[in-house]
Amino acid sequence: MNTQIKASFKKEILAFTRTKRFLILACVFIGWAALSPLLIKGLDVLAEGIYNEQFMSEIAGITANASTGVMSAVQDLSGIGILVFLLLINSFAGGEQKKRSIMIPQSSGLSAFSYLFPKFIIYPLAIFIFSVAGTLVAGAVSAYIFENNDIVISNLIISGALLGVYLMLYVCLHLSLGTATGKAGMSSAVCIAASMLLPNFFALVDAQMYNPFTLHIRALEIASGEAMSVDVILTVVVTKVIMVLVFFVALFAHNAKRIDNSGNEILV
Amino acid sequence: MLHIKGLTKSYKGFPVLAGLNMNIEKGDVYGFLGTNGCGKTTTMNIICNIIPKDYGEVAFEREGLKIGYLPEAPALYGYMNGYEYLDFIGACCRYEGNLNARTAEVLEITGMTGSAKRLIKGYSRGMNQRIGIAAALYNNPDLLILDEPTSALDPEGRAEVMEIIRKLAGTGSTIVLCTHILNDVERVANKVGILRNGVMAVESGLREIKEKLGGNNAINIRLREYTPEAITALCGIDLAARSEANDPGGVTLYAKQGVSEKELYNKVVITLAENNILPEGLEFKRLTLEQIYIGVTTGQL
Repeated sequence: MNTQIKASFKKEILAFTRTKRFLILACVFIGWAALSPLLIKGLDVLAEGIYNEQFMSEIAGITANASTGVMSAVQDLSGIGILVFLLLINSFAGGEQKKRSIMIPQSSGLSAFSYLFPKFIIYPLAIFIFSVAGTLVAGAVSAYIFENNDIVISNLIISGALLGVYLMLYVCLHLSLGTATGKAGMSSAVCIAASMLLPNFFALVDAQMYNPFTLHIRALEIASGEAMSVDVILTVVVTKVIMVLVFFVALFAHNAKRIDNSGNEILV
Repeated sequence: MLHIKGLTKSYKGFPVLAGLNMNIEKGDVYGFLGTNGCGKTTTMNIICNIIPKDYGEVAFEREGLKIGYLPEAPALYGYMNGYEYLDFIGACCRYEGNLNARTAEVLEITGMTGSAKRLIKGYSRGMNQRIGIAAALYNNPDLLILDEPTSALDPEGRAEVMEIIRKLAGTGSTIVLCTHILNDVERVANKVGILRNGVMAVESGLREIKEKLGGNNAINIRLREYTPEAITALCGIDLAARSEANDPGGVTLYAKQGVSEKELYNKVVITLAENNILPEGLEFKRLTLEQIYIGVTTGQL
């Protein structure tokens, strides 16, 4: 690996760890994953205290067992987890352009590839690890607090991995849009909007098996004990290909924006 | 080393540079002056490929010329310490020698060795500027561009940064010092360019500019005894276009057009001797760079 990429990896790791974002995200993912099964377990207690018919009918369909505990955690992490993650990495996905802290490194010769590549490795990898770890923690907590323990560790790992791949896609989209435009806030909003609109598009064109935005539903199914279908592998492959494409789009955008005023000719 | 010709740049239709010409030669310490918002930073950003030019020619002496750039308010990574930041910059500029040794060297040059292991977010503005200068120096640049390096610093910080620049100037580095603090320019620059209305109003050696625009052939005579007779005698010198009696110090005489400093001086000496007037001192009065700058930027010179 060349010195520039190595230095850029070091910079991203320092940025992620020293700004406490790594710690905060680890706490959010692990903490939420541990809390979700406890909330499911506590539903009965809650129901005893609340005599609201609508609430009672809503929770009537929920069976409080270990699988439900894990599913609840997966569901929460795919929603709240990603929102927190996107917001916390804003400063690495466009914030540097906005604050102009990228100016000195770029004018010193930092290439677009060296700048982007570590970002597209570290943050997606981090959210993948957090997802798997969160799902495992949810499984462990569920196994501990529920008597009818039907947890299968391999299912937990697969479910966490699928959730991780799903969330990695968001992170890549966010990094790509944010760094290319320098507007991380707008990029977060676009990512959330895409998650709402694109599934409908895939449904319209009857291509659900290629739809990366269904991965968290597959993760839920596997967490509930369903067997993994071959379609899931195809969806994962499609998602990975999209992530690589998104990286190259970001790279292209950065290179297209590169300025060279040193021409000896007069531009007209 | 760098020749700019007919450079133009507009922001949303508002012209900032309107055909700028600029010439920087190897070894120049170039004071680039102008009022706030006149386009100095825009010019620097165009030279450093940070913003695109509209039209014009930016020609370097040769391809691959190394430029070190210190932006006006360098935004550094607060989560790194000074050493780590400079190491990162060394990797960015693909420094070919030993990174650790060079990092230690630029820290030494900028007087930051003692604070190198502290996180940048705890640095003062002066320390930030010094790390910024160290980053700009890292790759032994052929051309060092410093945009307002002292504008936001207290007198102590300013003196420290100017001392670094003075040392660099002494090593023969080519430096563009973009500022509106004229004392700084007078201390280190050998060439000055003054930007007005998007074009270079004046560009020449500092001494030439002072001689050409600042030399108004005036002599200030301080008298040991300030008497009406002495004032009358001196104010009566016919080579002077006008005279100012500076009660109680003495008299300032401004030469008529076409009368040289030397002619006026000779006449003054003769008058003093003939009238038995004892002077305390004599000095040739010239406009300061600040007066020249104000004259140029306001269109009076």
